[in-house]
Amino acid sequence: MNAPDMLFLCNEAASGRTGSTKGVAKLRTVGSGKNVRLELDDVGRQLNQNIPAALIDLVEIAALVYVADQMEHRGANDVESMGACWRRRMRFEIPVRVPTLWKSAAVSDALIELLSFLSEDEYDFTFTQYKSPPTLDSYLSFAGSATDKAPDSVILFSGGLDSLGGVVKEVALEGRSALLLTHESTTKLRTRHRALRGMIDSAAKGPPPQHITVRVNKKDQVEREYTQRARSFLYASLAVAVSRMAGLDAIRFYENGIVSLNLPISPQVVGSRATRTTHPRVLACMRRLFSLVTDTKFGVDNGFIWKTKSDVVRDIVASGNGSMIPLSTSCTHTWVFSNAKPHCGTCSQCIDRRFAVLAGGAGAFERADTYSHDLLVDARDAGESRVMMASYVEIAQQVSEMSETDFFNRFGEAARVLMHVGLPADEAARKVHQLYQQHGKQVMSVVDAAWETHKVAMRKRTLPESCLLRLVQDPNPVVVASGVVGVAPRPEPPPAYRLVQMGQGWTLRFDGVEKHFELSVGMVYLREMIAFPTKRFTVAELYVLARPHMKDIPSARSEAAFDQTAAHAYMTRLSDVNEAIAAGEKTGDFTSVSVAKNEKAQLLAALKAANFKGRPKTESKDHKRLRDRVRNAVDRAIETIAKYHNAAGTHFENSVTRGSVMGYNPPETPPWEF
Amino acid sequence: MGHTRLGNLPRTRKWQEVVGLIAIGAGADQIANAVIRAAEQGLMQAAHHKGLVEAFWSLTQLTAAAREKDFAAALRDRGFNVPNNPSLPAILAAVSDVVDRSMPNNKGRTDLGEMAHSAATETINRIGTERTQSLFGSTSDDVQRVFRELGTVKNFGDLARRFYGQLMGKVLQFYVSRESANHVGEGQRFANLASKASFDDALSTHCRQASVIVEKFAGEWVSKRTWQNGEVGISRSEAEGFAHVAMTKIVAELKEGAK
Repeated sequence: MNAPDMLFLCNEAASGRTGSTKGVAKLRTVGSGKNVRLELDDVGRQLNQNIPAALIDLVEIAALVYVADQMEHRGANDVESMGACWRRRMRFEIPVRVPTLWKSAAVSDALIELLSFLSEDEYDFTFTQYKSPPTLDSYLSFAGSATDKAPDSVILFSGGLDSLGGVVKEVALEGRSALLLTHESTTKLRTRHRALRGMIDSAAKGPPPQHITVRVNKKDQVEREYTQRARSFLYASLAVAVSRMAGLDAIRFYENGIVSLNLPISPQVVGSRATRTTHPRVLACMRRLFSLVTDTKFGVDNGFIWKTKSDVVRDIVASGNGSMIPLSTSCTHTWVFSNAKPHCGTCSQCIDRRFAVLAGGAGAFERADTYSHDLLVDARDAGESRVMMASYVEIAQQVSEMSETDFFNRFGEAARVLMHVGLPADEAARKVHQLYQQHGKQVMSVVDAAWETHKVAMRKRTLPESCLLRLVQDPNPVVVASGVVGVAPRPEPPPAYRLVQMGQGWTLRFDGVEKHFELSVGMVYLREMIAFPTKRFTVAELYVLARPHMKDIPSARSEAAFDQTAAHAYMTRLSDVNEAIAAGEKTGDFTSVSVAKNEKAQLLAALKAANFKGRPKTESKDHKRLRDRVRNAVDRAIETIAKYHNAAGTHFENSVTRGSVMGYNPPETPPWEF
Repeated sequence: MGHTRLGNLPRTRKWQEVVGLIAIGAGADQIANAVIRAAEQGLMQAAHHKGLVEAFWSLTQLTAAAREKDFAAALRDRGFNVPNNPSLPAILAAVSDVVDRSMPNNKGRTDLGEMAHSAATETINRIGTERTQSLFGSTSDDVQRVFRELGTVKNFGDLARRFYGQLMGKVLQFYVSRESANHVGEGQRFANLASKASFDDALSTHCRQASVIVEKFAGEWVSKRTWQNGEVGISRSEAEGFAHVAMTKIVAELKEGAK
């Protein structure tokens, strides 16, 4: 399977190409044919607009990569090709204002290292000289008064809990003059964001923060790939441009350490299937790239790298701003958003958020019914929702009790962090372990508290079977005869040879080795045959045995009973009986004559019942079809058994005769139990 | 931010057989067998993937560097970015970094390579902490001694066995975890999450047992290569050859040995 491969011709690079070609897309941020919207709203006029050309290039490149990232599907379920389609090849032809910079090995390497780690795609950039580049004004919309003071810091504010925690820390507690940059990916959240901004402005200890909203999307384009792994590059690039306009040389993310490190929640989450939005290595790559582009020692850090989300929530509550929490939004399933229920409760972010709110002591600020699915007591559909929840809780439970050694035995991925957090490897390893253990304990404290709250419902089993509490709780305690819950008595050892249908499958135990098989009619035939060793079954008999509701298989039965061999046997016996009658009459042995006549009558009756007219019939099509069906079913069953149990497979292969008449006739019959 | 994406098993017959076996309570060995049959073709193609080769090659280089007087310098000569007197966590970080750098711009990166990457650091950590008693606080001399000891025929066999056991455990869970959580709950295959966790442990144990097939072969292989190559050490192409043969052996073992 080949990896998806796309070429993106951008701005002037698209102009010389006509028509459309598969695998080629044209992206334009300006001019006729503009199809990429890039807008920064409400930019304060106090910000210096004479920013270097390289920064405008950076913003355009980031916007183009962000849009392109959503235009080509990843193959999420290509499990057999080991992720060949998850990792795409993305080629870009982009005109820039400073090609010497972007073509330099240092910048090109830094850009590709950042993007390739962030998204796990392969990138190829061809930079050309921009002939008529637009000015930055093309993307800006100015507002605010000229007296506004330049900010002390630029904060990436998504409107989620973590970035809210960062804003509360800087604006409400430290009184810093901050500029909050928000990427608006959907208009659905606009009202909530506005209300939250109002609360932040009111809580500011110093000057109220300035807000800039960014919109980037492709016109008339249905989003094909929603993972948006390159999103934080866009987000950070815009923040870099704004911070340079404000004369600053640093930007700051606020994201809790668990999400930032994002160790795999489940073994199926390999590589960038867990986002690396603010992974320490991503931030290190950003520092390198942005320093080269701005020609400064540019800082990019994460203010919450050593905090859990619950820690962040607790700090917000402690600052007296817990009432802001319900207006923050974490859910990625924005398509199910409503003002009454802004959170779906099933995506990883919602699960993470609700645990943090409860563990962080903010349950009083956020009602459980603002989630479409309650974290603890609502049923979870099979599939991603249940797997996500189960994996999240299982990992938390395990991590909360893991030693440092066990932790790094389990999460090799954590080694990727150790070089990029500015600490000696030993200290970094210790802090990573402590962070995860803290997270695990906080999650399990929520589960423990919920058990206490819902213990009556748990005892009565009135909660849905697939809700979190029922998944964690053992619903089948052992009950001994007295009704007292206790230790299970030691079970009797199972028989060495057994073939039984149990639930939705078959259990075969052969020579003491047990295997399980899916339901199949072949197993039914097999079980009937081994239950009566040496008995010969017609295919019609077996067919009916497996289908007790069927009363008769007429054509099959008659034909099967009088195939050539059977008819020959009947005729031979009839001839013998006629001879016996003649001999008895000759000698006057009337007793023998009577017995022989009785037998003759039975033989003739059988022949008549079979509509036998004196000549053996050839096998009919119906009978052949029936025989093949039964035989194939038995063959398949034996083949399946052989896949998982060599000895049993060989035994059945050699002991089961398969034809019009079938049977189980081993040299030595094992002591089967059924 | 922080979005994580989960997937399902394909709806093809061979993968639905795996789903069925999980549902009806088949044991870890039988499920391992079914998964390997379903994934065999992709796995064998992936046995040449760069991430796997580089991860295994890194293990051979650690043992080779440990034989030299200046351990840190010897590691740096082999591309490992370590400080002077490297601790065990510093080596974990350096191995992770060297494997990543071997696939710039994700050329050659695959899921199997990513799993091998993790399996390599997990194996180093497991063996290192077992032999020095602790992840933290072990001296550089302790760490060097551990890796020097791992260069012998017997110990390298143990290292390779653990690496492949860990890797195959990850590979099986890569598939099985897409389905197993759907069978948790009253009346289902797993009564609760603890029961599912026990099954996961059984699957890992089964892989560790199956990986014994690699042990003897690996010890003899490294002995022969060390004797033939001397100072030059084991090349990446030799490591690739080993990786393929080892994968063939363990796949066959998981298919046939489980019967």
